[in-house]
Amino acid sequence: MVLMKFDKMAKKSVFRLGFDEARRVAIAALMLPLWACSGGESGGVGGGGGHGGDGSDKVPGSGTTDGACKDGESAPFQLRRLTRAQLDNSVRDLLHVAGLAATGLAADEKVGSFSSNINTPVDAFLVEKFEQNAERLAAEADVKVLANCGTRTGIACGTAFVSEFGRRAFRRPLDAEETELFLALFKSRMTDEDGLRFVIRAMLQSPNFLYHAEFGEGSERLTEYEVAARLSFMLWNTTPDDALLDLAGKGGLATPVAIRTALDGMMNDPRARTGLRGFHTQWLGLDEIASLGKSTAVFPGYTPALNAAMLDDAHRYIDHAFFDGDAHLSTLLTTNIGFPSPELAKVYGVKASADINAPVATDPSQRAGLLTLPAFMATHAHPDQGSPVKRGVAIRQRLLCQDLPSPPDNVNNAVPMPSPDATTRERFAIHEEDPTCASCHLLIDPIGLGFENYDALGAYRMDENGKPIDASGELTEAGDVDGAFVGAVELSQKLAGSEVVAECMVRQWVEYTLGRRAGEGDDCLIKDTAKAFLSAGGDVRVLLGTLVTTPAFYQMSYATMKGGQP
Amino acid sequence: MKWPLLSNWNSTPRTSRRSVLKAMGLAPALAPFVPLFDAFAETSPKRLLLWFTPHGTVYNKWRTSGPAEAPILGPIMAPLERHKKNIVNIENMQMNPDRLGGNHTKGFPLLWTGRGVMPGSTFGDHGWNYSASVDQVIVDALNPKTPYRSLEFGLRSGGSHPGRRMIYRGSAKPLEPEQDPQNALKRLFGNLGASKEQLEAMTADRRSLLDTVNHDLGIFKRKLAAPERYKLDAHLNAIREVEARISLQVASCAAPTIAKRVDAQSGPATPDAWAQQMDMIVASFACGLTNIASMQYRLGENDGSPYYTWLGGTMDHHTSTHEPPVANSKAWAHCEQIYTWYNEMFAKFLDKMSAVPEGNGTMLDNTLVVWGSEVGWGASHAVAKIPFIVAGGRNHGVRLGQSLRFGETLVTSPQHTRLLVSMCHYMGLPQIQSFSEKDNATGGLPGLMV
Repeated sequence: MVLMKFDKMAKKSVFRLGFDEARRVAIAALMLPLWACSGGESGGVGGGGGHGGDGSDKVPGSGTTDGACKDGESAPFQLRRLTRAQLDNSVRDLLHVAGLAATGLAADEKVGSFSSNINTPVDAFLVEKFEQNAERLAAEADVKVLANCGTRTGIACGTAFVSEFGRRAFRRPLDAEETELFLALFKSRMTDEDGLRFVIRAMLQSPNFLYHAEFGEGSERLTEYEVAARLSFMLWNTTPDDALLDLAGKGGLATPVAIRTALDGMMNDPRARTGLRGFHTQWLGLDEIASLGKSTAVFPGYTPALNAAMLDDAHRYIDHAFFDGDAHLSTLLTTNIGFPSPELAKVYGVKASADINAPVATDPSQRAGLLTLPAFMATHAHPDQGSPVKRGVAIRQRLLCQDLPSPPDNVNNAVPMPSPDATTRERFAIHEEDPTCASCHLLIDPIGLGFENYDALGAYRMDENGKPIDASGELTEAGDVDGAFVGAVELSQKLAGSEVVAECMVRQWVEYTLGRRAGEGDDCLIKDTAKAFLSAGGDVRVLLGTLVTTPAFYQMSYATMKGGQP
Repeated sequence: MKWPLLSNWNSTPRTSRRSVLKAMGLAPALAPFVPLFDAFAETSPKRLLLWFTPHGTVYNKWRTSGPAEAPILGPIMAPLERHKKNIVNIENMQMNPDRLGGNHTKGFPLLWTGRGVMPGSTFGDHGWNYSASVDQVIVDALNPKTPYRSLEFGLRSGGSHPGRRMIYRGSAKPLEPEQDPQNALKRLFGNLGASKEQLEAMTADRRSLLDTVNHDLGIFKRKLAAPERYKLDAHLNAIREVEARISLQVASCAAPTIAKRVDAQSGPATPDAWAQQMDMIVASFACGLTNIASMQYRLGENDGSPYYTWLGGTMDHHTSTHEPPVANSKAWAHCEQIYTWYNEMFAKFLDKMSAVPEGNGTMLDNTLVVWGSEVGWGASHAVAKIPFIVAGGRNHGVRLGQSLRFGETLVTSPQHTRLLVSMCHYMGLPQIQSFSEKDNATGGLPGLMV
């Protein structure tokens, strides 16, 4: 019970406590093995929630009551607006136009590592942007093709369009009141074409399009159309297509098993590449790369085009792991291939392939998976030098799901300057010598220094300023991965086999899918899903398949299913 | 053409609007509209503009020397020499922070709201801001009838995050800045140049669509769980705000022009894009779209790359501030360059404001411009010695051409909330005497006003 208490405390308090306290608590939690759960969240509704990855009916670990995770309340339902990418992708699929729907909108809010517009309400500025974008996109659309009215004209054409296009735009059929509302707009115009464009303009400004509209059906359970939308935005990052809406319409998403079957099918669609790229780039922070630059004094010839090449390399790496590989966590974290442009090939120290789609083998002693991609190394670095701190923090937060507090106010957190006669390790030693720094940096730097073989662009180096690189590192207070390692290849291999990392990956997928931070009430589903994920050898498809069978996925919120109040 | 809301406008008599138009070189085609806004314009409207640049300054190269009543500007402020009589620099101002978040982050909401960021986990170890920024407090108190209650401009200001937003209507209610002058032109002045018939048609279309969306939001809100309905209420209010100004904005002014189209998001285009945003601000004031505005250049969080290539930079601003203060540090020299350039841009803005005649003086004489930053100096993250500069407002009692020098210790240097209170006083709200719950004193900033 003492352990349970630590675990629960850690989840809610790492952000709020003073650092020493938070560290002790968080770390106590991470020292725990993956406790099995009571499985209480998976019973009772829908006939089969919480299926494990092995396809059995039994939730892995269900029935155990050691108390390491307890049923709790998930965060209450929160209304979210579509992200910029979701708007752009959805309009592309709805209207088949080149124009973008998110032009002029603010950058998305970040919730944890992920884009999710969950906090800031719409203001007049946004209303005007929605108006402008809708007008432009409606003018661009080929309404004759979209409406497919054939010989129908006038009201017949308008009625069919409001119903068919409305279902796509709102991701569910319109009710009578809504149909009348939009049909009135159509009727108010002089020509059919003008009427169709006017309907499009209105629907693109409708809350049913702009928000993740989830109301349930008189209960906490999402409607099947809402489940279809969640599936679609989770895996494709765009609006559901007609086939998926048809499936919802005919009762094809009524059970967790059916939801999972649908997801498995969706994995074969090219849109899954878009969604998986989206998750992984946000998870690892690579979506920030476009705004980063490198010092042309240190890297002559550097141009921002290299950033684009790095991101493209990462995208293709992710595609490869999922669609040419086995989609396992270990594959993501340990494969030594790249897809470099000619410029990026120089960073890798390899010869670029003539075909950008063909992977180039990289040196297995230098490269292993996502964490040694130049995109990851360059993102978590300074413009002119690598950063043991940024890299250590990235591993703690993104791979181990441990949030770290900000540095105290009164410290001098200047980055030690590059010096011609010292290595980075020597310069950063101050962090361990100064006790005010050491309390935090002992958790950070020993991990980050394991990446010393990679410069600020992610190029491999054997020495720095004529001195040989020492890439020895150490993981502490990180559960099953604790211990010394040398270099990022060995670190990646350790992380690839870790239960802590597997559970963290589940947590990241939960936050990405639900667009909110995972809280205490999500512990059980995370632990259950992690069990299934691990029993399937770390197959991410099983992780996703399991996640969509949990109430967190197909319910508005989670506690109310068990009789609580929203 | 109908003018349904004109009767709501403050209509203080004035005469000079036509001359303003002339001064701005606005099209004769607008002549028919001129009498319409002459009717509601004021001779010397009180205005407020908040101006932001990141990461403080190099204080000792910024501060003035010589007599406080006739100060000698520091080298960083040298570009403001021609506006010496139009400015006040305020030395040794501190911001007493709530202790949460990184300083660039918490200093940012702090700057204009007087409070930092709340505890919470929304952004890792903190949440949004506590309270409204000073301009929005003033907006709420005055309830202005201008087409826009306020206008927020930005340039490369990033996304929705407390380290990247400085203007707030309330807690967790950041106002999004318009970050692209092309978009500003279209949004604020886009309907100008259209014929009367076109304007009427466009206005009718927008009203019709917004009516429908409004209705649709109502249906949507009914279905939504009560705790989340506030988001729909905000959305509905926003629509009402837009509806209220549709017919006003189409008639009130002529568009400024943008001679050179640039990608406002790209680093190298910054000098051009910023100057264009200045034109948008000046035109918005001149055309009576609003009397309260802000300009946020970059963000409180790290002003990282791209570099200031037009200043020869090979390292980003934020990293440069974190270099140690060694003799002949190239990084620090670069910082001084950057801050000097900020002063050049500010001087350019003051040029533009001074070029618009208004009443017995210029637009600048009616506008209180306050320039602040989220920290005093990047490396120390200190929220002391914030390089505040006040400009303009001569017609309404600002004592310009002086240096306000306060005690150098944290005990004797005033909190910047005094300055926030002075802004309220300037805008006609003498009843406001303290700003934010953390304010430890009362009254405006001593010596600022006549």
